[in-house]
Amino acid sequence: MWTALQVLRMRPAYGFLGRPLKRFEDQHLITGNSQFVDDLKILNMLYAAFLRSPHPHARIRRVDLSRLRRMKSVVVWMTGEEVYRLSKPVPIIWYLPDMRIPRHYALALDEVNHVGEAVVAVAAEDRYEAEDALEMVEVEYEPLEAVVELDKALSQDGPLVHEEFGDNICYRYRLRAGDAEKHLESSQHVLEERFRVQRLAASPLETRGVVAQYEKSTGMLTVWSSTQFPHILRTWLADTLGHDEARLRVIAPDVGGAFGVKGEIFPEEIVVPLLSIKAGRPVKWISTRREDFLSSTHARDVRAYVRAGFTDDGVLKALDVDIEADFGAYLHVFTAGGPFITAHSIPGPYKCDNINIDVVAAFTNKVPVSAYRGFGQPEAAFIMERLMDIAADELHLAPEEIRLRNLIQPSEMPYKASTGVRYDSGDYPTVLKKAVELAGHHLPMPGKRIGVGISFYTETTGFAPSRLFHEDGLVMGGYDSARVRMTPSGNVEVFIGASPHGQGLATSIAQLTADILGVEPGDVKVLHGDTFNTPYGQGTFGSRSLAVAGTAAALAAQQIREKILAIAAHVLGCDRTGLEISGGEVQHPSTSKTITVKEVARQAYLAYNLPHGLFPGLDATVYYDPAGLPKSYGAHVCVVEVDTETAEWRIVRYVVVHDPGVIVNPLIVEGQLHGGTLQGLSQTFLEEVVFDGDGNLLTTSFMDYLIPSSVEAPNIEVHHHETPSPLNILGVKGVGEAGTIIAPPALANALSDALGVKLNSTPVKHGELLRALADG
Amino acid sequence: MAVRKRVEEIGKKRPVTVEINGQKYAFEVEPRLLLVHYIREYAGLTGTHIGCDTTNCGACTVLMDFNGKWKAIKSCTMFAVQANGKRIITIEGLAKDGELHPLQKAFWEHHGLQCGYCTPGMILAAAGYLMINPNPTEMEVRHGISGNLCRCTGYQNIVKAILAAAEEIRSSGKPVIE
Repeated sequence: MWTALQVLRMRPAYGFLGRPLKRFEDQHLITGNSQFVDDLKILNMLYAAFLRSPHPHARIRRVDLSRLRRMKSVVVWMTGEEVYRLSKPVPIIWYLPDMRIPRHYALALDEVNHVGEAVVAVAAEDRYEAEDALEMVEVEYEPLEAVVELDKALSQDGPLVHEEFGDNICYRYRLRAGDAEKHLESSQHVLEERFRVQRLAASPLETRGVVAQYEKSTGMLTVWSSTQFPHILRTWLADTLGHDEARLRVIAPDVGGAFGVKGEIFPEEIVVPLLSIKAGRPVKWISTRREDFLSSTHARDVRAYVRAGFTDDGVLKALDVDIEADFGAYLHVFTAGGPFITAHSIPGPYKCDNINIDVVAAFTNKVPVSAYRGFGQPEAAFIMERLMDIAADELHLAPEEIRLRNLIQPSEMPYKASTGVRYDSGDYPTVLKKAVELAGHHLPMPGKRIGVGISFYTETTGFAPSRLFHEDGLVMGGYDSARVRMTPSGNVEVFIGASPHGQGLATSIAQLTADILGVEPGDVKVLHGDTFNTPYGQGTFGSRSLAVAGTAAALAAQQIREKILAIAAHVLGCDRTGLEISGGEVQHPSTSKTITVKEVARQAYLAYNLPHGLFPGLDATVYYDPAGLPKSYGAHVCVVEVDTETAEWRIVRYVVVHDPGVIVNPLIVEGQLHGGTLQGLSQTFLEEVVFDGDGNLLTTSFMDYLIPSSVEAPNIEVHHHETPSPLNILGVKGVGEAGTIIAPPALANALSDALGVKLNSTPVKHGELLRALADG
Repeated sequence: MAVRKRVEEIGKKRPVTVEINGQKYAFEVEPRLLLVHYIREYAGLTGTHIGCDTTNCGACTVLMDFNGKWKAIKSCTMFAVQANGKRIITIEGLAKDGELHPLQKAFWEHHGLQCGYCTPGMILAAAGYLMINPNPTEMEVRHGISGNLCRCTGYQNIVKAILAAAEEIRSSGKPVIE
């Protein structure tokens, strides 16, 4: 078994691990040959459309479908009553103790609880006709008072989202370490601050979409979905629909971005198969952008009240944090986990022995929230990083100095926090100092102010292992899997259970597999997304795929490697020890005997001349469950220039120094940081899901919900620092969520610094900046 | 009855002929059919994507010939009937004789795409912009493609790719679109 360090040392010898190879994913994407769900066309396919609630809260009095019968292109339709008879509720995978679970079927039964909740589904000969058909459906609603504001949801005598619960609380959760009250009392400085992170929409450029094809004769149901976890979707769809899992095939074809929002099981993924079964024909549904805002889960929407005790020297002694989360109307697969993760992500990279965290999660009549890139961690990072800057100000310390006094030290690694969270490896202070040094000093031009924002993060990556999932209330495994098969011609197929959707995992895995098997990365084809040919896996989310599925691939490739060496030794008639593979050849150093890997592969399948006891073929499957969660970390420094008259600002320098463990492909790692950082920055200045006071969603297009364009995007300088993780043989950690976790406070700190204000709530509105200028 | 009559009225199909990537397509379509659906569903060219339905994201960008000049347009907010008699280039028509267009090569080389969903529109928007400004600065490129959204890359490598492709096109002496 290799260690991470050996892998690093191996680099010059093999040369693919660590190289910025062009991606194998790209060629079909740049030539228009992609296969996204909407690109799929099946003979006799119908198109589905969903009638959605215009009310945030209402009783359904009557549904009149009689006019549908007169539309000749409409083939089948479905209401909540039929869905109730044919399927179980929309699945939930994350459970916390004493959590209340509202009744939630794929179509509303007798009550709607948010604008956009699906009420009726129709399938027609074409998409235009399906949408026409919706106009023929009459639903009579009896509007009920809606719970829109979180304050109203938490008040004792307000209206109720789900009457049966008696109040609007989904769950309360407490996290305790040491004695926070005592240490707050004895602290020399106690800060009290309020923070808010707004509601966001992940908004991948490809909206969600589903195609279902049911074949009555065989009972085969095939579902193509724009999903991050085809195997999990299959298992839960089988359960929800009562369908034989072996006769249910889920395929995630090309997926046009997901960012967490497609790691869910949505009502449409249940209803479209039901429509296909009912019609006996394939059915396609593609979400419009408007529907995406109305029906895909939103994210964040958390506020916090924090008391923090510091010594005169700026050492953090105690934290008391109240977190209030607005969950919207229902629980989805991961909804419950968000504020739980926030609680466990405090204090992040800093040491603090005395911690009180109280979470309350409440229902409102809004679109439900769930996972989105960073999931729970950005909220914690925003709290901690704003807090550090505010404390630095009060204690007259430099922002980097107060951080250095509180960071976990390299000598303390592996570190176990007071809350039980584990940190595997790294040198936090060095990375912070390097980032500050690289960002340099900036002097303002006339009429401008300069603001510098420093932020430091840890990112929980490699989302696993199974035991921890179980302890934290997740009803899924944490492992992932890979099957490595060398064909008789010496090409390599790697089938993985993870399901990447833009990350470039196929290239990264090809690189490390090539190194282990001594072939070219171009000889390695990585396949994913189809439950019929990939081993069972949890999917791609939580920056887990390289650390978990990648390690599984490496372990499986090592088994193949061992077998290649055994066969080579047998054929060459030499000793197994000392044999090495590189450049497509197995060499025996002392005798200079060689045999090509291709020839070994041929021998493995012809199988007439194998070592005694060795099975034919070169095919290995590994299910790998890691020992723990690797923590990536890093520092961002954001330098802004603010106009002293208009408060217009721009980022003049953005420096990232980060440690994602061993880097397999720097091009891909940098790409993840560029994209994630811009998504994070736009939390601070641009994006916000807005409901009006009555619960109507106001942001239903990219005209209202602003995602950044190339003009708003800064150039991001990325510097790597590699400390291998001891938790897997590759030494890798994850990198996907770093940007959205830590960019928001970097910009908020920079703007706060420039204007001498406390910007504790995102998004920061231009008016706030103008007011800050006016106030001095 | 009034409703039924209206539906029939809308349903009245018209012939629409469009030349896409040098090939002529002719279909009878409803006047309400969007050009992007004509390209995807009728011509079967699914490289042109739909991201927002409201002309904000540009995933549906194609090149259209206006009096001998190629211009980047968003095909989700144009009816197919408005494109009758026009010439169009989609992502499928960009590579010539198996040779990738310099923009395609540069996007690949510089990691200018992740999920790839916005990429066809982004490449064609870039082509449209380079025909207006063949020697742009970084900021000009950023403004030139600001009608096209990408959620994955942070644009940094897209901008890099377009600048590299512009350079290659200039030094080749060839037009952006031949």
